[in-house]
Amino acid sequence: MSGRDLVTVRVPEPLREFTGGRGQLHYDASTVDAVLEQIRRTEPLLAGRLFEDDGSVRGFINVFVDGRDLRHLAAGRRQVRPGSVVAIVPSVAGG
Amino acid sequence: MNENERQPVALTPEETLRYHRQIILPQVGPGGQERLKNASVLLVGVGGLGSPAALYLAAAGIGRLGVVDGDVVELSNLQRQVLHDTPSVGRSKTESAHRRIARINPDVEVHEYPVRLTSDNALSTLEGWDVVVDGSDNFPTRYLVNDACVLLGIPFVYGAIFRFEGQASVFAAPGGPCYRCLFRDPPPPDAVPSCAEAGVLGVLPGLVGTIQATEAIKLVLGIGQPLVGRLLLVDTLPMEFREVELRRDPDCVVCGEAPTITSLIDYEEFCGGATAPLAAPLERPRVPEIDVEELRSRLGSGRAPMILDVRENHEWRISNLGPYGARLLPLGRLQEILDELDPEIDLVIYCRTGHRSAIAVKQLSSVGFDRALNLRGGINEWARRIDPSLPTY
Repeated sequence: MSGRDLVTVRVPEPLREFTGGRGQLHYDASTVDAVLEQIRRTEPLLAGRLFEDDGSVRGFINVFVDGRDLRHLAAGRRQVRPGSVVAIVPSVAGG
Repeated sequence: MNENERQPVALTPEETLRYHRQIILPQVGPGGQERLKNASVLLVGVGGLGSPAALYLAAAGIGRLGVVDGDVVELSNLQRQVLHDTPSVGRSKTESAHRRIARINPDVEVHEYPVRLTSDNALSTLEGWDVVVDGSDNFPTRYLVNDACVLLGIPFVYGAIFRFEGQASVFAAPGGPCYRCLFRDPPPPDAVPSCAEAGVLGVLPGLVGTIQATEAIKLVLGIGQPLVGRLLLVDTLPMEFREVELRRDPDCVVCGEAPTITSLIDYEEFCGGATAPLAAPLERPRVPEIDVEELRSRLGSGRAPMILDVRENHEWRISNLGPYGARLLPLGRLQEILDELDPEIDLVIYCRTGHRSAIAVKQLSSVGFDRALNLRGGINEWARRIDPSLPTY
Protein backbone atom coordinates (compact mmCIF):
# COMPACT_ATOMS: atom_id res chain seq x y z
CA MET A 1 0.00 0.00 0.00
CA SER A 2 1.54 3.35 -1.03
CA GLY A 3 1.43 6.64 0.87
CA ARG A 4 -1.32 7.85 -1.46
CA ASP A 5 -3.59 5.05 -0.35
CA LEU A 6 -3.15 5.99 3.29
CA VAL A 7 -3.90 8.89 5.59
CA THR A 8 -0.90 11.15 6.11
CA VAL A 9 -0.18 12.69 9.50
CA ARG A 10 2.08 15.74 9.25
CA VAL A 11 4.39 16.05 12.23
CA PRO A 12 5.79 19.57 12.66
CA GLU A 13 9.41 20.34 13.49
CA PRO A 14 8.97 20.83 17.24
CA LEU A 15 7.53 17.33 17.65
CA ARG A 16 9.84 15.39 15.35
CA GLU A 17 12.22 14.52 18.13
CA PHE A 18 9.42 12.24 19.33
CA THR A 19 9.08 10.45 15.98
CA GLY A 20 12.75 9.80 15.36
CA GLY A 21 12.89 12.79 13.02
CA ARG A 22 10.03 11.67 10.77
CA GLY A 23 7.85 14.49 9.43
CA GLN A 24 5.11 12.25 8.06
CA LEU A 25 3.35 9.18 9.40
CA HIS A 26 1.02 7.05 7.30
CA TYR A 27 -1.96 5.08 8.51
CA ASP A 28 -4.72 2.97 7.03
CA ALA A 29 -7.82 4.35 8.74
CA SER A 30 -11.33 5.52 7.93
CA THR A 31 -11.88 7.96 10.81
CA VAL A 32 -9.66 10.53 12.45
CA ASP A 33 -10.30 8.85 15.80
CA ALA A 34 -8.79 5.65 14.39
CA VAL A 35 -5.79 7.66 13.21
CA LEU A 36 -5.29 9.12 16.68
CA GLU A 37 -5.62 5.67 18.21
CA GLN A 38 -2.93 4.35 15.89
CA ILE A 39 -0.68 7.25 16.88
CA ARG A 40 -1.18 6.25 20.53
CA ARG A 41 -0.28 2.68 19.70
CA THR A 42 2.65 3.19 17.35
CA GLU A 43 4.15 6.50 18.54
CA PRO A 44 3.95 6.54 22.35
CA LEU A 45 6.46 9.38 22.68
CA LEU A 46 4.50 11.59 20.29
CA ALA A 47 1.21 10.60 21.91
CA GLY A 48 2.61 11.69 25.26
CA ARG A 49 3.06 15.18 23.81
CA LEU A 50 -0.30 15.31 22.03
CA PHE A 51 -2.83 14.01 24.49
CA GLU A 52 -4.07 14.73 27.98
CA ASP A 53 -4.64 11.82 30.32
CA ASP A 54 -8.33 11.83 29.34
CA GLY A 55 -7.39 11.39 25.68
CA SER A 56 -8.21 14.93 24.57
CA VAL A 57 -5.72 16.95 22.54
CA ARG A 58 -3.67 19.35 24.67
CA GLY A 59 -4.67 23.02 24.63
CA PHE A 60 -1.45 24.21 22.99
CA ILE A 61 -1.74 21.77 20.11
CA ASN A 62 -4.31 21.66 17.34
CA VAL A 63 -5.19 18.88 14.97
CA PHE A 64 -6.59 19.75 11.56
CA VAL A 65 -8.21 17.16 9.33
CA ASP A 66 -7.99 18.23 5.69
CA GLY A 67 -7.76 21.83 6.90
CA ARG A 68 -10.64 21.59 9.40
CA ASP A 69 -10.13 21.90 13.14
CA LEU A 70 -10.74 18.56 14.84
CA ARG A 71 -12.51 20.33 17.72
CA HIS A 72 -15.16 21.60 15.34
CA LEU A 73 -15.78 18.32 13.55
CA ALA A 74 -19.10 16.80 14.52
CA ALA A 75 -19.31 13.09 15.21
CA GLY A 76 -20.61 12.33 11.75
CA ARG A 77 -17.87 14.27 9.96
CA ARG A 78 -14.79 12.61 11.34
CA GLN A 79 -14.24 10.30 8.38
CA VAL A 80 -10.93 10.36 6.55
CA ARG A 81 -10.13 8.83 3.20
CA PRO A 82 -6.98 7.77 1.37
CA GLY A 83 -4.96 10.91 0.76
CA SER A 84 -6.43 12.80 3.72
CA VAL A 85 -3.98 14.93 5.65
CA VAL A 86 -4.08 15.20 9.42
CA ALA A 87 -1.94 18.19 10.40
CA ILE A 88 -0.61 18.61 13.91
CA VAL A 89 -0.10 22.31 14.65
CA PRO A 90 1.58 23.18 17.95
CA SER A 91 2.05 26.66 19.33
CA VAL A 92 5.49 28.09 18.65
CA ALA A 93 6.74 31.43 19.85
CA GLY A 94 9.87 32.17 17.84
CA GLY A 95 10.11 35.62 16.40
CA MET B 1 -0.66 56.80 21.63
CA ASN B 2 -3.67 59.02 21.32
CA GLU B 3 -3.92 60.26 17.76
CA ASN B 4 -7.62 61.06 17.70
CA GLU B 5 -6.96 64.73 17.05
CA ARG B 6 -4.77 64.09 14.00
CA GLN B 7 -6.15 65.38 10.74
CA PRO B 8 -5.69 63.39 7.50
CA VAL B 9 -2.65 64.59 5.56
CA ALA B 10 -2.51 64.56 1.75
CA LEU B 11 0.42 63.29 -0.32
CA THR B 12 3.17 65.70 -1.35
CA PRO B 13 4.40 65.69 -4.98
CA GLU B 14 7.57 63.92 -3.87
CA GLU B 15 5.54 61.24 -2.11
CA THR B 16 3.42 60.77 -5.20
CA LEU B 17 6.64 60.04 -7.09
CA ARG B 18 8.08 57.80 -4.34
CA TYR B 19 4.98 55.63 -4.18
CA HIS B 20 4.18 55.75 -7.90
CA ARG B 21 4.40 51.98 -8.46
CA GLN B 22 1.93 51.43 -5.64
CA ILE B 23 -0.38 54.32 -6.51
CA ILE B 24 -0.92 53.02 -10.04
CA LEU B 25 -2.35 49.81 -8.61
CA PRO B 26 -6.11 50.16 -9.03
CA GLN B 27 -6.64 48.61 -5.59
CA VAL B 28 -4.49 51.33 -4.00
CA GLY B 29 -4.61 54.56 -5.99
CA PRO B 30 -3.88 57.98 -4.50
CA GLY B 31 -6.63 57.49 -1.95
CA GLY B 32 -5.13 54.22 -0.72
CA GLN B 33 -1.66 55.74 -0.50
CA GLU B 34 -3.07 58.58 1.58
CA ARG B 35 -4.70 56.00 3.80
CA LEU B 36 -1.29 54.35 4.34
CA LYS B 37 0.25 57.75 5.10
CA ASN B 38 -2.38 58.44 7.72
CA ALA B 39 -2.17 54.95 9.22
CA SER B 40 -0.23 53.75 12.24
CA VAL B 41 1.23 50.29 12.80
CA LEU B 42 2.87 49.13 16.03
CA LEU B 43 5.53 46.44 15.81
CA VAL B 44 5.86 44.39 18.98
CA GLY B 45 9.37 43.07 18.64
CA VAL B 46 11.85 44.22 16.02
CA GLY B 47 13.79 40.98 15.76
CA GLY B 48 13.50 38.32 13.07
CA LEU B 49 9.85 38.95 12.17
CA GLY B 50 9.71 42.65 13.01
CA SER B 51 12.74 43.42 10.85
CA PRO B 52 11.31 42.69 7.40
CA ALA B 53 7.89 43.92 8.52
CA ALA B 54 9.37 47.28 9.55
CA LEU B 55 11.40 47.60 6.37
CA TYR B 56 8.45 46.99 4.06
CA LEU B 57 5.94 48.99 6.08
CA ALA B 58 8.32 51.95 6.10
CA ALA B 59 9.04 51.61 2.40
CA ALA B 60 5.31 51.30 1.65
CA GLY B 61 4.65 54.63 3.31
CA ILE B 62 2.89 53.77 6.56
CA GLY B 63 2.83 57.18 8.22
CA ARG B 64 3.59 56.19 11.80
CA LEU B 65 5.46 53.14 12.97
CA GLY B 66 5.90 52.19 16.60
CA VAL B 67 8.69 49.82 17.63
CA VAL B 68 8.53 48.00 20.96
CA ASP B 69 11.58 46.02 22.04
CA GLY B 70 13.56 45.94 25.25
CA ASP B 71 16.59 44.14 23.81
CA VAL B 72 19.90 45.34 22.43
CA VAL B 73 21.28 44.19 19.09
CA GLU B 74 23.57 41.16 19.43
CA LEU B 75 25.95 39.71 16.88
CA SER B 76 23.95 36.46 16.79
CA ASN B 77 20.84 38.45 15.73
CA LEU B 78 22.30 39.60 12.43
CA GLN B 79 21.90 36.27 10.62
CA ARG B 80 18.16 37.01 10.35
CA GLN B 81 17.29 40.41 11.86
CA VAL B 82 17.94 42.38 8.70
CA LEU B 83 16.77 45.69 10.14
CA HIS B 84 19.97 45.83 12.20
CA ASP B 85 23.57 45.89 11.07
CA THR B 86 27.02 45.22 12.42
CA PRO B 87 27.68 48.79 13.66
CA SER B 88 24.41 48.57 15.65
CA VAL B 89 25.62 45.70 17.85
CA GLY B 90 25.26 46.82 21.46
CA ARG B 91 22.68 49.52 20.65
CA SER B 92 19.03 49.24 21.63
CA LYS B 93 16.97 47.56 18.92
CA THR B 94 14.45 50.39 18.90
CA GLU B 95 17.21 52.95 18.32
CA SER B 96 18.72 50.78 15.59
CA ALA B 97 15.27 50.33 14.02
CA HIS B 98 14.56 54.05 14.17
CA ARG B 99 17.84 54.93 12.42
CA ARG B 100 17.33 52.37 9.68
CA ILE B 101 13.70 53.29 9.04
CA ALA B 102 14.67 56.96 8.83
CA ARG B 103 17.24 56.13 6.16
CA ILE B 104 14.73 54.13 4.13
CA ASN B 105 11.92 56.63 4.40
CA PRO B 106 12.44 59.88 6.32
CA ASP B 107 8.75 60.69 6.01
CA VAL B 108 7.83 57.92 8.45
CA GLU B 109 7.26 59.05 12.02
CA VAL B 110 8.86 56.51 14.36
CA HIS B 111 7.87 56.04 17.98
CA GLU B 112 10.38 54.12 20.09
CA TYR B 113 9.35 52.02 23.09
CA PRO B 114 12.65 50.55 24.32
CA VAL B 115 10.94 48.37 26.91
CA ARG B 116 9.56 44.89 27.25
CA LEU B 117 5.79 44.89 26.88
CA THR B 118 4.16 44.11 30.24
CA SER B 119 0.68 44.04 31.71
CA ASP B 120 1.41 47.46 33.21
CA ASN B 121 2.36 49.21 29.98
CA ALA B 122 0.59 47.22 27.25
CA LEU B 123 -2.76 48.99 27.10
CA SER B 124 -1.26 52.48 27.13
CA THR B 125 1.35 51.44 24.54
CA LEU B 126 -1.07 49.74 22.15
CA GLU B 127 -3.99 52.14 22.47
CA GLY B 128 -4.56 54.31 19.42
CA TRP B 129 -2.61 52.23 16.88
CA ASP B 130 -4.53 51.03 13.84
CA VAL B 131 -2.82 47.63 13.49
CA VAL B 132 -0.37 45.68 15.64
CA VAL B 133 2.23 43.31 14.20
CA ASP B 134 3.23 40.64 16.70
CA GLY B 135 6.84 39.66 16.19
CA SER B 136 7.52 38.75 19.79
CA ASP B 137 9.59 35.73 20.72
CA ASN B 138 7.95 34.33 23.83
CA PHE B 139 4.58 33.00 24.94
CA PRO B 140 3.80 35.48 27.74
CA THR B 141 4.14 38.40 25.32
CA ARG B 142 2.06 36.63 22.68
CA TYR B 143 -0.85 36.10 25.09
CA LEU B 144 -0.41 39.66 26.37
CA VAL B 145 -0.54 41.12 22.85
CA ASN B 146 -3.61 39.04 22.09
CA ASP B 147 -5.54 40.02 25.18
CA ALA B 148 -4.60 43.70 24.92
CA CYS B 149 -5.62 43.80 21.24
CA VAL B 150 -8.94 42.06 21.96
CA LEU B 151 -9.66 44.44 24.83
CA LEU B 152 -8.74 47.49 22.73
CA GLY B 153 -10.39 46.23 19.54
CA ILE B 154 -7.18 46.38 17.47
CA PRO B 155 -6.54 43.69 14.84
CA PHE B 156 -3.11 42.14 15.07
CA VAL B 157 -1.05 40.25 12.55
CA TYR B 158 0.39 37.12 14.07
CA GLY B 159 3.59 35.44 12.96
CA ALA B 160 5.70 32.76 14.65
CA ILE B 161 8.64 30.67 13.52
CA PHE B 162 10.52 27.54 14.51
CA ARG B 163 13.56 26.18 12.65
CA PHE B 164 12.23 25.85 9.06
CA GLU B 165 8.52 26.36 9.72
CA GLY B 166 6.33 29.38 10.28
CA GLN B 167 2.76 30.38 11.01
CA ALA B 168 0.84 33.54 10.16
CA SER B 169 -2.70 34.78 10.72
CA VAL B 170 -4.74 37.86 11.59
CA PHE B 171 -6.33 37.79 15.02
CA ALA B 172 -8.73 40.04 16.91
CA ALA B 173 -10.25 41.41 13.71
CA PRO B 174 -13.98 42.14 13.91
CA GLY B 175 -15.84 38.83 13.93
CA GLY B 176 -12.66 36.78 13.63
CA PRO B 177 -10.94 34.46 16.08
CA CYS B 178 -8.19 35.47 18.47
CA TYR B 179 -4.94 33.71 19.39
CA ARG B 180 -6.62 32.07 22.37
CA CYS B 181 -9.33 30.62 20.11
CA LEU B 182 -6.50 28.69 18.44
CA PHE B 183 -4.21 28.05 21.38
CA ARG B 184 -6.34 27.88 24.49
CA ASP B 185 -3.42 27.08 26.79
CA PRO B 186 0.24 28.00 26.67
CA PRO B 187 2.64 25.08 26.45
CA PRO B 188 4.34 24.03 29.66
CA PRO B 189 7.54 25.96 30.37
CA ASP B 190 10.45 24.53 28.37
CA ALA B 191 8.20 22.18 26.36
CA VAL B 192 8.80 24.20 23.19
CA PRO B 193 12.40 25.25 22.64
CA SER B 194 13.09 28.84 21.61
CA CYS B 195 14.97 29.79 18.43
CA ALA B 196 18.02 30.36 20.63
CA GLU B 197 17.82 26.73 21.68
CA ALA B 198 16.53 25.08 18.52
CA GLY B 199 17.91 27.30 15.76
CA VAL B 200 16.12 29.03 12.91
CA LEU B 201 16.77 29.37 9.20
CA GLY B 202 17.69 33.04 8.78
CA VAL B 203 15.46 33.64 5.78
CA LEU B 204 12.37 32.10 7.43
CA PRO B 205 11.46 35.19 9.49
CA GLY B 206 12.07 37.14 6.28
CA LEU B 207 9.28 35.16 4.62
CA VAL B 208 6.86 35.24 7.54
CA GLY B 209 7.57 38.85 8.54
CA THR B 210 6.97 39.95 4.96
CA ILE B 211 3.64 38.12 4.98
CA GLN B 212 2.80 40.00 8.18
CA ALA B 213 3.65 43.32 6.51
CA THR B 214 1.44 42.36 3.56
CA GLU B 215 -1.46 41.62 5.86
CA ALA B 216 -0.98 44.87 7.79
CA ILE B 217 -1.08 46.85 4.54
CA LYS B 218 -4.19 44.96 3.38
CA LEU B 219 -5.91 45.70 6.69
CA VAL B 220 -5.11 49.41 6.42
CA LEU B 221 -6.27 49.57 2.81
CA GLY B 222 -9.26 47.29 3.33
CA ILE B 223 -8.39 45.24 0.25
CA GLY B 224 -8.12 41.55 -0.54
CA GLN B 225 -8.90 38.73 1.84
CA PRO B 226 -6.92 39.09 5.04
CA LEU B 227 -5.84 35.99 6.95
CA VAL B 228 -8.82 36.31 9.29
CA GLY B 229 -10.10 32.86 10.21
CA ARG B 230 -7.20 31.22 8.41
CA LEU B 231 -3.83 30.04 9.67
CA LEU B 232 -1.10 29.99 7.05
CA LEU B 233 1.52 27.29 7.60
CA VAL B 234 4.86 27.77 5.88
CA ASP B 235 7.35 24.91 5.59
CA THR B 236 10.52 25.99 3.83
CA LEU B 237 12.18 22.60 3.35
CA PRO B 238 9.57 21.18 0.98
CA MET B 239 8.62 24.85 0.31
CA GLU B 240 4.97 24.35 1.03
CA PHE B 241 2.37 26.94 1.92
CA ARG B 242 -0.78 25.43 3.38
CA GLU B 243 -3.67 26.89 5.30
CA VAL B 244 -6.13 25.60 7.83
CA GLU B 245 -9.45 27.02 8.85
CA LEU B 246 -9.82 28.82 12.18
CA ARG B 247 -13.06 29.63 13.93
CA ARG B 248 -13.90 31.98 16.72
CA ASP B 249 -14.43 29.97 19.89
CA PRO B 250 -17.68 31.02 21.56
CA ASP B 251 -16.20 29.76 24.83
CA CYS B 252 -12.96 31.76 24.44
CA VAL B 253 -12.03 33.31 27.77
CA VAL B 254 -11.17 36.68 26.24
CA CYS B 255 -13.20 37.09 23.01
CA GLY B 256 -16.00 34.58 23.60
CA GLU B 257 -19.61 35.15 24.52
CA ALA B 258 -18.97 35.24 28.27
CA PRO B 259 -15.34 36.30 28.66
CA THR B 260 -13.71 35.76 32.01
CA ILE B 261 -10.62 37.82 31.15
CA THR B 262 -11.72 41.44 31.02
CA SER B 263 -8.43 43.05 32.04
CA LEU B 264 -4.80 42.09 31.61
CA ILE B 265 -3.44 39.34 33.85
CA ASP B 266 0.01 38.18 34.98
CA TYR B 267 1.25 36.50 31.80
CA GLU B 268 4.49 35.18 33.24
CA GLU B 269 2.46 33.30 35.80
CA PHE B 270 -0.11 32.25 33.18
CA CYS B 271 2.63 30.73 31.04
CA GLY B 272 4.64 29.38 33.94
CA GLY B 273 3.29 28.60 37.37
CA ALA B 274 -0.34 28.62 36.38
CA THR B 275 0.21 25.79 33.94
CA ALA B 276 1.78 23.48 36.50
CA PRO B 277 -0.95 20.80 36.37
CA LEU B 278 -0.69 20.70 32.60
CA ALA B 279 3.06 20.91 32.70
CA ALA B 280 3.53 18.08 35.11
CA PRO B 281 3.59 15.23 32.60
CA LEU B 282 6.10 17.09 30.44
CA GLU B 283 8.38 18.48 33.10
CA ARG B 284 11.86 17.09 33.35
CA PRO B 285 11.43 13.80 35.18
CA ARG B 286 13.22 13.42 38.50
CA VAL B 287 15.81 10.76 37.80
CA PRO B 288 19.20 9.74 39.24
CA GLU B 289 21.90 12.13 38.07
CA ILE B 290 25.63 12.45 37.83
CA ASP B 291 27.46 15.77 37.57
CA VAL B 292 30.16 16.51 35.04
CA GLU B 293 33.05 16.41 37.56
CA GLU B 294 32.02 13.00 38.82
CA LEU B 295 31.71 11.68 35.27
CA ARG B 296 35.20 12.95 34.48
CA SER B 297 36.69 11.25 37.52
CA ARG B 298 34.89 8.00 36.72
CA LEU B 299 36.14 8.10 33.15
CA GLY B 300 39.69 8.13 34.47
CA SER B 301 39.20 5.55 37.22
CA GLY B 302 38.60 2.29 35.42
CA ARG B 303 34.88 2.48 36.34
CA ALA B 304 34.03 4.17 33.08
CA PRO B 305 30.31 3.92 32.27
CA MET B 306 28.84 3.49 28.84
CA ILE B 307 27.81 6.96 27.55
CA LEU B 308 24.73 7.53 25.40
CA ASP B 309 24.01 10.80 23.57
CA VAL B 310 20.25 11.13 22.94
CA ARG B 311 20.43 14.28 20.79
CA GLU B 312 20.07 14.47 17.03
CA ASN B 313 22.77 13.92 14.40
CA HIS B 314 23.32 17.60 13.70
CA GLU B 315 23.82 18.32 17.39
CA TRP B 316 26.41 15.57 17.63
CA ARG B 317 28.36 17.37 14.93
CA ILE B 318 28.47 20.51 17.08
CA SER B 319 29.89 18.78 20.14
CA ASN B 320 30.06 15.28 21.50
CA LEU B 321 31.72 12.96 23.97
CA GLY B 322 32.82 10.57 21.22
CA PRO B 323 36.43 10.60 22.51
CA TYR B 324 35.09 8.95 25.69
CA GLY B 325 33.23 6.27 23.78
CA ALA B 326 29.86 8.03 23.66
CA ARG B 327 27.33 6.55 21.25
CA LEU B 328 24.71 8.65 19.46
CA LEU B 329 21.18 7.39 19.89
CA PRO B 330 18.48 10.05 19.30
CA LEU B 331 15.73 9.94 21.91
CA GLY B 332 13.07 9.03 19.36
CA ARG B 333 14.96 5.83 18.48
CA LEU B 334 15.72 4.72 22.01
CA GLN B 335 12.90 2.18 22.11
CA GLU B 336 14.17 0.53 18.93
CA ILE B 337 17.47 -0.59 20.34
CA LEU B 338 16.60 -1.53 23.90
CA ASP B 339 17.34 -5.16 23.12
CA GLU B 340 20.93 -4.26 22.28
CA LEU B 341 21.60 -2.66 25.67
CA ASP B 342 22.63 -4.52 28.80
CA PRO B 343 20.44 -3.45 31.76
CA GLU B 344 23.26 -4.39 34.16
CA ILE B 345 25.77 -1.96 32.73
CA ASP B 346 26.47 1.52 34.14
CA LEU B 347 24.98 4.07 31.74
CA VAL B 348 25.37 7.82 31.62
CA ILE B 349 22.99 9.62 29.27
CA TYR B 350 23.36 13.18 28.09
CA CYS B 351 21.76 15.67 25.73
CA ARG B 352 22.24 19.41 25.32
CA THR B 353 21.09 20.54 28.78
CA GLY B 354 19.76 17.43 30.51
CA HIS B 355 16.06 17.52 29.61
CA ARG B 356 15.83 14.89 26.89
CA SER B 357 18.33 12.69 28.68
CA ALA B 358 16.16 12.79 31.82
CA ILE B 359 13.27 11.51 29.71
CA ALA B 360 15.56 8.78 28.37
CA VAL B 361 16.68 7.73 31.85
CA LYS B 362 13.04 7.55 32.94
CA GLN B 363 12.13 5.42 29.94
CA LEU B 364 15.05 3.10 30.56
CA SER B 365 14.37 2.76 34.28
CA SER B 366 10.77 1.80 33.50
CA VAL B 367 12.04 -1.24 31.60
CA GLY B 368 14.59 -2.38 34.15
CA PHE B 369 17.66 -0.25 33.53
CA ASP B 370 18.38 0.65 37.15
CA ARG B 371 21.92 1.92 36.63
CA ALA B 372 21.21 4.71 34.13
CA LEU B 373 22.21 8.22 35.21
CA ASN B 374 21.37 11.59 33.69
CA LEU B 375 24.32 13.94 33.08
CA ARG B 376 23.26 17.09 34.92
CA GLY B 377 23.43 20.15 32.64
CA GLY B 378 24.20 18.05 29.58
CA ILE B 379 27.09 18.53 27.20
CA ASN B 380 26.87 22.30 27.53
CA GLU B 381 27.75 21.95 31.22
CA TRP B 382 30.60 19.60 30.29
CA ALA B 383 31.85 22.24 27.84
CA ARG B 384 31.64 24.99 30.46
CA ARG B 385 33.29 23.16 33.34
CA ILE B 386 35.41 20.37 31.89
CA ASP B 387 36.32 21.05 28.26
CA PRO B 388 36.04 24.72 27.20
CA SER B 389 37.32 23.76 23.73
CA LEU B 390 33.81 22.40 23.00
CA PRO B 391 31.26 24.92 21.74
CA THR B 392 28.02 25.49 23.64
CA TYR B 393 24.77 26.13 21.83
